[in-house]
Amino acid sequence: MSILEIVQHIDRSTPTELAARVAVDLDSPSPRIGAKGPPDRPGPEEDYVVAVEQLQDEDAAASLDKLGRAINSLLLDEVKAIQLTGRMARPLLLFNVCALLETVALPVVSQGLRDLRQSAEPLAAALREQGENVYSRLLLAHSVNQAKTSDDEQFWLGLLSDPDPLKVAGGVVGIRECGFETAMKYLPLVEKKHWEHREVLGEFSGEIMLLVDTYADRHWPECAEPFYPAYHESRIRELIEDYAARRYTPEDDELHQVAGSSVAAFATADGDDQLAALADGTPLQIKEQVSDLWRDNSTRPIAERDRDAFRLICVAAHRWSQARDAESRDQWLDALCYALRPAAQQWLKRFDRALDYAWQRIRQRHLDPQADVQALAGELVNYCKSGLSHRLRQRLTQVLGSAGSPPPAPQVLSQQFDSRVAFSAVVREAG
Amino acid sequence: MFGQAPPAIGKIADWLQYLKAVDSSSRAGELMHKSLLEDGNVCNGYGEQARQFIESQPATVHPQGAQGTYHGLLSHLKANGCRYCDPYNDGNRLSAAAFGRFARVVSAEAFAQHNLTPQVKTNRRSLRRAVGAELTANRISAIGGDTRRLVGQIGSDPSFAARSESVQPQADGSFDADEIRNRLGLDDARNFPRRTWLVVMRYREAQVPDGTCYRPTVLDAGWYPAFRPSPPGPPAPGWTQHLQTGGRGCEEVIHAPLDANQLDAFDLIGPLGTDPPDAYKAVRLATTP
Repeated sequence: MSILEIVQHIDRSTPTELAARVAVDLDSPSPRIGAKGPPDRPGPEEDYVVAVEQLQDEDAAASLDKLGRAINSLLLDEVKAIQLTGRMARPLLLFNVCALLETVALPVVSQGLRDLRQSAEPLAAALREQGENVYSRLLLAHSVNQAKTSDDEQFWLGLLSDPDPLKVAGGVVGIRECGFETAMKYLPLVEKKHWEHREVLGEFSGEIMLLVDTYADRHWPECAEPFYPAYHESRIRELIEDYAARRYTPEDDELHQVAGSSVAAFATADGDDQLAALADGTPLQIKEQVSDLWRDNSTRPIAERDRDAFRLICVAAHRWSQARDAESRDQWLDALCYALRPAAQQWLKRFDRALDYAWQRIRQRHLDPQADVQALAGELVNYCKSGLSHRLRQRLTQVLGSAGSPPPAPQVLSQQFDSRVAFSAVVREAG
Repeated sequence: MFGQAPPAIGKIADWLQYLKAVDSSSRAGELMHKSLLEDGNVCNGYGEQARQFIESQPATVHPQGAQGTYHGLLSHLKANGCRYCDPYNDGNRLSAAAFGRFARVVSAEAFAQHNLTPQVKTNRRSLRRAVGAELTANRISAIGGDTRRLVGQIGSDPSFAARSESVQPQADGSFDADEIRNRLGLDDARNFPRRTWLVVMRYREAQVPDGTCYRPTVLDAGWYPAFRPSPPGPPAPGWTQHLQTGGRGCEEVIHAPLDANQLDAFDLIGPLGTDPPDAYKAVRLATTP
């Protein structure tokens, strides 16, 4: 079934019909079963994931409730089968349902998951010969779909004390998903468990990343400060502050637009008009505008600020390319760098993986980043290519490509840049 | 796959006809039907087992049933030890050394879920929250390219891979992620839609388990309509199908997965600017073997 057909089916069917449909669609093998790495194909639950996300976007509460009831009935069927026979009836179905529920939260299903969590042995045994532990999958699904009651909290804490490291892993996820306060409260215990079961749980720094990203809407690292006194000698504070500092933090307007407001602003920006309007400015005036622009960055909308920053870069690059004498070129180059630096810092902060990537490439090519401004400008273009709009890429290619026409030799540029604030400094800082 | 023309009547013929009708809007059933008929690299023993399995199943009465039977067939073969690394499959066996450097491309989300932190404590919802794609990219960048910090394996068993030189950057050093996806035949709008990031894993033949890889067959690809059987013949790498042109994309093989911390390097590329094209489908269906 296509995603549209799934959505229509959810809307039009009774919960019983829907449960039957879900059972048909999801009771099948999955490339995820036994996979210890990224599979080449998605599992059969993937279309349902997209359909649910679509319904969530539309606030279709009644449809989601119906799907939740249908899935809950399947979970309860499995509970009954285990009670009767001691074995799972449809392990593939439960595996795929868990894969769905570890990705999306649905109403009602916490009941069935709570009942099933008592059946650790039959679930763990069901697909063992295929290298899969369905109970671990159930815990992931349950962590996302839990009632966050004290009963749930006690269950997760109980798992943390279990000798089986896979159950400890389930406890770690459950506590993390049990709410921000609970997750922070038990973080030292979770850290201790990482030391005890490192071979299964991995590095504790990875848990901090997951925690911070799970509560992405919090103000990190400030939101963690009330908990620090209880952490004593732990590295938790250091790890949180380190990751929060490096982490991409979306701003409100970015979260509410599909492609990001900055990209949208760039797509509509017309640099030529601005170039004409600002053609009379001096390098000093441009630098003052750059300073003003970034000084009040706490209040201006990010899209507007980025658009203006981009225009100032274009103006400086344009005037550099038009400058007739060496002194003037020198001044405009200085203004261009002045405009590039804060913009690059901000943009790269938001897309810092692009910077890492650019930095690696610079190193691989054995270039001296301080000496070769052309390469660095190229990296900025590449960065834009991977992170921003096609329009911006073209525009930057145009203005930076024409800025040194014919391009000065790297050695000349090196001399010009010798004591200046070079774009490379940004690269070096973040690299 | 059947080693000879399938019977014109009977269960297998009925099954194939119903299979052909699966998901007619995407033409997935037609493509699978064609691949099953054309793949001459499936060893005879597996083809015969497939015949027997389908004959033993209840009569197919609708397309979904046919698809279910195919899934059942794959499980049956696997349960009976019919795997790519079985001695019967020696006709598709290759030395990894002859392939050179390997590259495997996966979605950044899948990489983040399986290779950044242990899978047992990474639910996928945490990857999709907020602005999932950027957070995922950010999380990957946080380890700074240090492959020793990766966990898990590079893929499921078997893992598909291409030559490293098939996934190289362009002259200006940047990657054309869309072209790479299309060249590798990664036609999955759920794994590789626009705005997603890709991870290119790179490794050498020495890291490939047993130093052995195999030409993939339709049975290795599972339910994957973009798979195109390679021409039969002496052991040689298979070929992907270019999603845009329908022609050959690049050479590909399968092999047992290796631990991710053995990778030489990985690149984060993207985001994809387009959804996977499906121009290849018409070309493929119009092509005779």
